[in-house]
Amino acid sequence: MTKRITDQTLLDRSIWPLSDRHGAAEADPRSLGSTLRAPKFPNTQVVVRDADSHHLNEESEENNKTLRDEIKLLRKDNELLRTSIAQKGSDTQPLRAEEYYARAFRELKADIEMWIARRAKPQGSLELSITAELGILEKLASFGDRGQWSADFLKADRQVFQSWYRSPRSRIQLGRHVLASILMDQVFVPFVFGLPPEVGNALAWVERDINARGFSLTLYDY
Amino acid sequence: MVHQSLGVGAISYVESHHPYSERVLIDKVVSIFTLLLPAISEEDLFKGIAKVVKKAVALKNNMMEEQALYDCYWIKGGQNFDPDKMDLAGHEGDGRIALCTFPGLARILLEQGKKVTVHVVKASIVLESTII
Repeated sequence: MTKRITDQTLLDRSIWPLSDRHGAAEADPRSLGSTLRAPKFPNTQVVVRDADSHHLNEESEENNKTLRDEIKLLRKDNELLRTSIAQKGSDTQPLRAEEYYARAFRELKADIEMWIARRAKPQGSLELSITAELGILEKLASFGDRGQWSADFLKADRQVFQSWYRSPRSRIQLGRHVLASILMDQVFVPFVFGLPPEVGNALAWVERDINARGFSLTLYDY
Repeated sequence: MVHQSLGVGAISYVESHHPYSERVLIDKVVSIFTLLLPAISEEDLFKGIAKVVKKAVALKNNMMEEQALYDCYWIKGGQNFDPDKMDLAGHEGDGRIALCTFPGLARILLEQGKKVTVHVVKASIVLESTII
């Protein structure tokens, strides 16, 4: 017999031991016991490992659930933030364009000009009594700083006031001046119209202070 | 932002605590105009002045609710004419300012911490040489 090893020989050799062992086991069941013995008692290590893995699974499922809930919450939060940012963005836009205020201001000026002109012109040349003159100047001064300046200016030369009042053209200008100075003192200069002056002054001061220095975070350190 | 928040709060305060401010002002203005224009009926004066006061208050409130800073300015008599912030209400002339017949409207801008004034509507003035 030659030592020539064929593919069949290799195949036979590799199979042989297994088939031999298998065959032996069939022949002697006791030999099987040594390799595949059925457990008579539970393997405690395996049981503990099973319990651990069961516990771990439960824990990770719980974690997953928590994370999923958190994601839901964050998504919801994100939406709210987006809405809030969009809202803030639109809040910073001007409510009305500059042209709106310019037009409204010019309209007010035109209303006053026309109203005074229609009522002062037809009266022709007029004389102003001393009582009326003093009454006008006193009332004018009581409206505020501009009224006071105006009263002082007109009081300085009473001839000027009288002569301006006499002519319809200058009386119209005088009437416009009086009404405009009252609106300045009572409506446009105060922080907000109708607010008690001391409150308005305090708010104007607060606004100026914040604009000049910004919000003071150190306030909370005290 | 600060201006707007304080303004809106203050307007709301006036509406609930001083609802008759407009009426009080109208009555005061009518009382001075009855001396200035004695031939005009009080009813006519009230109607015209009420319209102007209401319009002015509405404009002021709108400006307070705005984020941009608007400022009305007044020209004191005796100053020299400045074409950048004044318009002649009467005829051209020279000399000092006699009367301011309507305030100016300016917009205040804060650029790099500095206050910049833009004159949106110039104040109307009458010169001494043209009024007499």
